[in-house]
Amino acid sequence: MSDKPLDLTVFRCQSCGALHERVPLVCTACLGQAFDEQAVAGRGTLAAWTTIRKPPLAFRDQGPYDVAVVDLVAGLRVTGRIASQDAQAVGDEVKMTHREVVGEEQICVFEVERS
Amino acid sequence: MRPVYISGIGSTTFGRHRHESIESLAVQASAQAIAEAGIERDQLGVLYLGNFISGPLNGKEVLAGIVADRLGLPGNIACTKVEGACASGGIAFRHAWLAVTYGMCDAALVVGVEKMTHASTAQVTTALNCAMDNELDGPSGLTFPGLYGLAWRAYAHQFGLTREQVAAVVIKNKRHGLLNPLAQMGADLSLEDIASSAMIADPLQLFDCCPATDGAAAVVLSAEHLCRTSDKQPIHVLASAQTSGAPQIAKHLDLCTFEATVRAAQQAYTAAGITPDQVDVVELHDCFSMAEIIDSEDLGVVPRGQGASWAEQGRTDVLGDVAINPSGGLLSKGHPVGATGVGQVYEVVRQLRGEHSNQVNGACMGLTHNLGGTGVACTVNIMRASQ
Repeated sequence: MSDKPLDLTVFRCQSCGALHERVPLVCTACLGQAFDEQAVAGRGTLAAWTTIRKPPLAFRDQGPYDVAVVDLVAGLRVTGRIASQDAQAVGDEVKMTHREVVGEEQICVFEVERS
Repeated sequence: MRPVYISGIGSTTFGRHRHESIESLAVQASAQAIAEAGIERDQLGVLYLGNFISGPLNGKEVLAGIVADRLGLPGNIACTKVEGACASGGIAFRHAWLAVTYGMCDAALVVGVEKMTHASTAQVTTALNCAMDNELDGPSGLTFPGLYGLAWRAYAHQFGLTREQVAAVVIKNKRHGLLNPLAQMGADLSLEDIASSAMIADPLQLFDCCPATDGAAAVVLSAEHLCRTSDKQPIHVLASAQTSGAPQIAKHLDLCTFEATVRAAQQAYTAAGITPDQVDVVELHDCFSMAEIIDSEDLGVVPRGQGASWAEQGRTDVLGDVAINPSGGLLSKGHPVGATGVGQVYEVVRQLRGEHSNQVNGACMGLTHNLGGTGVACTVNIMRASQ
C-alpha cells in the first residue's frame, strides 16, 4: 500500500467557505446552495473508534468491522472505517488508504500512519 | 403560564408482554393514571402518545387515535402521536405540559408505549437504527452501542476510565432493578459477570446495554383546581425543557458530552429557579452504562470528568450525594423506547410522594432526562413535591 494518503473530495460553500463531507442540502453555516469540490489530504488524527460486533441487517455479512471518527488536518471531522484491529489510541495519526462502496455511498477507510 | 401538577400515574410492568397488543399496554397504563387522577374522561383536553417504532415492529400507526378509541375518550379530544426516537415519551410529556400551562386545557393525558420483544435482535437493531442519521452516518455501519463505544474511548482518553468504574454503574442499576417490581431485569452482578459478557461494540459489553422491552407508562397533568379530585399528593412540574442536537456523529465535536442535554438542563434549572445541587433524585437516560456517566455530568449533578468515579464511590446510589436511577434505569428497568420518558416521570413521582419501593429518603426535588437518537432530541423535567 502506498505511503501517501489518498485525497478526499469535500465540498466548500461558495458563499462562506464552510467545508462539508458530503454535498449538503444547503450550507448549514449560511444557507448557501452552491459548492465547489475540493481535494484535501486524507490525513488526520483518530478521535475515537469502536469495533461493531452486532451490525444492523444491511451490514450483517461485514461484521465485525471498526468504525472510526477522524479529525482531518483540513479541519473537518468525518466518520469512516479503520483497518481491523489497527487503532491503538485516541490521537493516533491516520491516513486514508481507500474508499469502500456501501450502497450508493462511499466511505473512507483509514489506517494508522507508521513512520 | 400557570402551575401544572401530575395528578395521576400508571404503568405496566416493563418486560415481556407476549400476549398483549401495543394498544392494550397503553390502555392499561392510561386507565390507571386517569383513575388515580380522579377526573372524568371529558375533562381531558388532549392526549399525547409517545412511541417510536410501532410501524416497523407492530405494523401499527395512528396509535394515539386507536388508544383514545379503546379508552372511550370523547371525539373532541385532540390525540397526537409524537416521535423523537428514545425521547418520544419525554416530548409527549412536554407537549401535554405546554397545553395545560398555557391554558389550552385543564387536564392532559400522556402515555408512552413500545412493544419490541417479539422481534429478532437484528430487526430491533435495524428499527432502532432509523434514529441514526442514515444519510450521513449510515454508510459507516455505526450502531447505537457503537456510538457509546466511541464515547467510551474518547472519554477514557480525556479523563481516564476503567472497566471497573463503568461496571459500577451497571452493578448499581442492576441492583436497583431488584428493588423495583416493574423492572425487567434486576440482577446482582459482579464485576466478573460484566467483564466476561459478550463484546458488543468495543469496549462496550453486553451488560453495558439496556434490553429490548415491552411496556407503557402514563400520567395525567392537571391545572391546580383539578388536582383536588385525586387522593394522591399532586407533584408540581416546575420546568419542562426540550432541545435539539446534531444527528450526525461527526458534528459532535466533543464525544464526551451531548449538547442537547447541557442546554435542556440549563433551561430547566433556570425555569425552575434551582441549581443542580438541589436535586435529590434523578432518572436519566442510561441506555448504555457509558451514557449514565456522560448524562450525569451534562446535567450538572456530578462534576465534569467524575461521573465514573462518583458511581464507583457510591455517590450516585440511593444513599449517596444524588440518587441516580433508583428505579434501575433503562439498563435494568428496561427500555420500551417510546415509554421510557414517561416511565421516568412515573418513577420520580413515586419518589416525591415518598412511596417508592427503593425510596430516596426525604426526596423533595426530582429530575428526569430523556435523550433521543444520537443526542438529536432531549427533554429535561424538574418536579417538586408540593407539600
